[in-house]
Amino acid sequence: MGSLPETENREVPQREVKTKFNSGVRKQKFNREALSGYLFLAPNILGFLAFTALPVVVSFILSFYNWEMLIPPMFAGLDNFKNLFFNDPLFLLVIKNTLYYVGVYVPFNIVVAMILALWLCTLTKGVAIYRTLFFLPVLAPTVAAAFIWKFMFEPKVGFVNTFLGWFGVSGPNWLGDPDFAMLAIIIMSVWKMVGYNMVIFIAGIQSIPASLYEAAKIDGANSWDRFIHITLPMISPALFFGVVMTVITSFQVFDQAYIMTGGGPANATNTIVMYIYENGFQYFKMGYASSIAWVLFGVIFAVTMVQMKVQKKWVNYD
Amino acid sequence: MLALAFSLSILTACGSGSTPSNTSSGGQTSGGQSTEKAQGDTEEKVQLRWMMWTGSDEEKKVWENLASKVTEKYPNITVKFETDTFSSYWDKLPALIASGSAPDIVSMQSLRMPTFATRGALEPLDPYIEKTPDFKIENFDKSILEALSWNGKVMAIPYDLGPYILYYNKDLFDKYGVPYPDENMDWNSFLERAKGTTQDGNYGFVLRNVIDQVVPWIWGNGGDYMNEDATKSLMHEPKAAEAVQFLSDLFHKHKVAMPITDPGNENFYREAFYSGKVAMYLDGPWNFGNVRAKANFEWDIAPVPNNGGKVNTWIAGSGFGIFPKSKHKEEAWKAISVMMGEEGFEYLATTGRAFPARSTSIETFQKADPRPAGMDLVTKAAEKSKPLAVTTNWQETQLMINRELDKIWFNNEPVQEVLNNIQKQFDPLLEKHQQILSSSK
Amino acid sequence: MSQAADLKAMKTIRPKTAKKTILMLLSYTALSFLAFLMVMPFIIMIATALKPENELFSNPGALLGSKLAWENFTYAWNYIPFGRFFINSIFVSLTVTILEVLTSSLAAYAFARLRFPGRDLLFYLYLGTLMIPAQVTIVPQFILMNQFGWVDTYQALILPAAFTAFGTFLLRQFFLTIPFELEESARIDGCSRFGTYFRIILPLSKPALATLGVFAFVTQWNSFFWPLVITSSDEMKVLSVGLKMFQGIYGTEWHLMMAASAIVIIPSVIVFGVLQRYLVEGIQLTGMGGR
Repeated sequence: MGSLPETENREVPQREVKTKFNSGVRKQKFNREALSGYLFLAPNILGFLAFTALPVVVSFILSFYNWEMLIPPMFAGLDNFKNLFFNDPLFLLVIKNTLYYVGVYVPFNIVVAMILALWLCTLTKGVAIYRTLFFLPVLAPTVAAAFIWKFMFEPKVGFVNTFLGWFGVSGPNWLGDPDFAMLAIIIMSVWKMVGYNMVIFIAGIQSIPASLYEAAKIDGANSWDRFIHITLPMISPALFFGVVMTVITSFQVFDQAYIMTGGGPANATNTIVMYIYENGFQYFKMGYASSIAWVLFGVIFAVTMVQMKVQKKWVNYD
Repeated sequence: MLALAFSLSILTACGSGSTPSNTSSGGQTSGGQSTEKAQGDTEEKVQLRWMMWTGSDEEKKVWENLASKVTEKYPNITVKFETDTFSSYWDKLPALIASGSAPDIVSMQSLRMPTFATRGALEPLDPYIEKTPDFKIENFDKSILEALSWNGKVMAIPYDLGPYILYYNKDLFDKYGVPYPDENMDWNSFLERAKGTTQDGNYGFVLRNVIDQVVPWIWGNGGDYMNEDATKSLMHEPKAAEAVQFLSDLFHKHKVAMPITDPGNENFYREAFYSGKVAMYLDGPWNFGNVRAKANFEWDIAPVPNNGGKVNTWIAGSGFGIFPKSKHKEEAWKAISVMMGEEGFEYLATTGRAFPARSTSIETFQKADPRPAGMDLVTKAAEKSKPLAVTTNWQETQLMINRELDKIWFNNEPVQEVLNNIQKQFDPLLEKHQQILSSSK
Repeated sequence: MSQAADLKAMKTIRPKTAKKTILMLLSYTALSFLAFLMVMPFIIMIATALKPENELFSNPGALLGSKLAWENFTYAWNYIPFGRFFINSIFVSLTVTILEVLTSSLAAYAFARLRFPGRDLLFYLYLGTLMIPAQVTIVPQFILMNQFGWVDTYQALILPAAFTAFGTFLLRQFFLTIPFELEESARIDGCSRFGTYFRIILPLSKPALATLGVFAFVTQWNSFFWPLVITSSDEMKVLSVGLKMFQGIYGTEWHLMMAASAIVIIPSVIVFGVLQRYLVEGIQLTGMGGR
């Protein structure tokens, strides 16, 4: 797998060699560094291995078993995976739904977050107030937020259709229409989560030295140029983090679908993780549920790896 | 390596005593645990754990009071009451059972009985009942006892029972001069009444998009959703299809059924009724309490409309059972016998909590709150009902059926096509159910 | 004549600042409208909380009922053991946040700056755990807690949550953006690794640490699935689980749940408010031009 791109060229000149153990002197320096590494890592990794990694590994093992929760697990080899891909039309449907969600939600979220972040950074006063207001949805418990949005999506008297009515648009029966239910969830999710990325982007933008912009202005660059050639590159690490995390979490969308529509109507909002939940907690097919989770992992992992490789081209850590 | 060891421990820990024990002696604890707490040793203090779902603090107090009655009769037994919301309870219970930390007294729903009973989550209670003639099991309504049984053995003692009935909003009927639903309504007269009350944004009827709400109509037409031995699905057959078509027409042809705008809300139909905008809907007597509190109008109940079927409503209820791996099964039975004894029921009936499963307490229940006026109809409906037959994989089955039926209510897809689609998926599920049945015998 | 020149000069300046002012005004107006939309659901939340119970369903279009039912807040507080849940939530969320920020920053420093065998593999492992949904790790985690005898305890609420990979990932990304030269000069001057970490990296990372602090606190504050499964007694439950209690089997006490939600959101807002000013401080790398 090689070392991650952003950590190459990070060592002080004397330790050019990237392989592990070479000559005596280097070995000494290297060992001490390795020891420091482990020491720094220790507090977190002990807890991480015990409480995060271990259950994950167990769930991996479980995906090769049939476990109906109330009776002992039975080894099933690759049966779960075979059934998943060849015998389960619902699985393909939930993949489609999830891809639709990811494909619309991620760009929507990132673009709105970026616009808001840039906008807020142009303000001279009151940044803190606006930032709080836009971050407020993040602070709300999902249960409460989902219920409020259900009110708001009510076709006749809910706020969403009333708002659309101001522009002469007649809104649909959001949650009751299989064609619009997922879109409703996307809208609600963007409202709920855009504050996260906005805050991260603002932190990134505010760490760009003003001197860079001054220099550019003197050189005659306009706002758009300044954005493309200074802002974007300088916040690319933050942007990268935001995109990666948003993609990872959006593939796992569950809470909103669970509370707002329960996966319906007619499976329109049934997502991969909802399907995992149904299989594990309602049909007691814990082994099968685990296998679905690991297929999902494979997908997310592949997508993330692609992003990590591509980051060389546009993410700037200097 | 650690992970391997850990997962092995799951594999084996659940293995001890996994086969449903059919030992008839009540004092034996399964799983090869220590037997120091032998029969007859009633002096040592025992604390039992009991889990039950509740929806409010008042409900919680009711159950806690009931539990304290156990200590009144058996001073060495205390019952610790744990609770969660209904959906959380079912989320947690499998995890608790799987890890061996399930409560001694398990609350169970008739609709989930096969799922749990077939996987050894409950202890058969007949031996205990036989030992306790004072318990007067014969006073319990037969059909609900049947609904909480499995393989002919009683697995939980019911505390409530409920046949589905029709609730109606008297004020709406008065407003439009439509005669109230009566005891012998057939589908035509139902439809007329629904049409008559669908005016000014009010609707004659509201349906919840789940199979439970469709079954009374299927049965009322003389059809069924599956056959007696649960080997074949029957939903695509003419009598069932007619019933589903009738319901579909309520939405799309006659437009007397309120459009469902919140499919994820399990109580959408109830809230619609509370709002006073709906004239009729189907529900069980378990909702008396809420309707009393939330409806701002006069209301009453009537039997479900019938179209020639022998039985036209199903019955369900909930009760309490014993976890087979409990270390205090004797004490658990003692507790149940107190809580579900005649005294316990009298207390429950005074709280108006739920329509009692013990016939001797119905009068007390009625005295506690006389609404609805037609309460006698509940017993009558119960007589003309049968338990909603479910399978060991009913959760999966009902979700499949509900989602398919959604296409009819929301997309107005042709009824026969959808039902044929259901049959294609229902039959394999029934096969699996049979497999589970035979492997657990 | 100089007056005329002055006036002329003023006229050329004023249009520019006037234009700027108008733009600024427009910007603020538009932004305020957006902020209003963003906050609308909360307005609805409070309005619903203030509706009398019997008007909840009769007139859904109206924002407010016939009166302001302030007593709903008292009812909501008494509906569940609010006080106890509150204390539990505060204790658990604060502990998780502190643990997470502390240990994650140490680990993130290791991943960002130090070379040791297996580093990248370990980092991938960290990253990987973020890609497995909680629904399948909950049951193994529960069984683990049961083995330790920690069901229904504070440890069970705190420990699994404090060591997620999220904090390490966030801080590592941030540490990577800190110019290497800053540390280098300190190292050359004889500063130990921990010294560099403590005296240089940490102070420069206040925005990231504050960000992580807010995220960790809020996530833990609102997390409900794991606390639901692992707690059974009232002494141990947290607010998020309490909120679900308003959702009865036959109907939801909307007005009470909204009132409760309004109460529940306050600590999150406070935490955010307190940590906000650290988010404001950016790194002003005045001396490090030319990057």
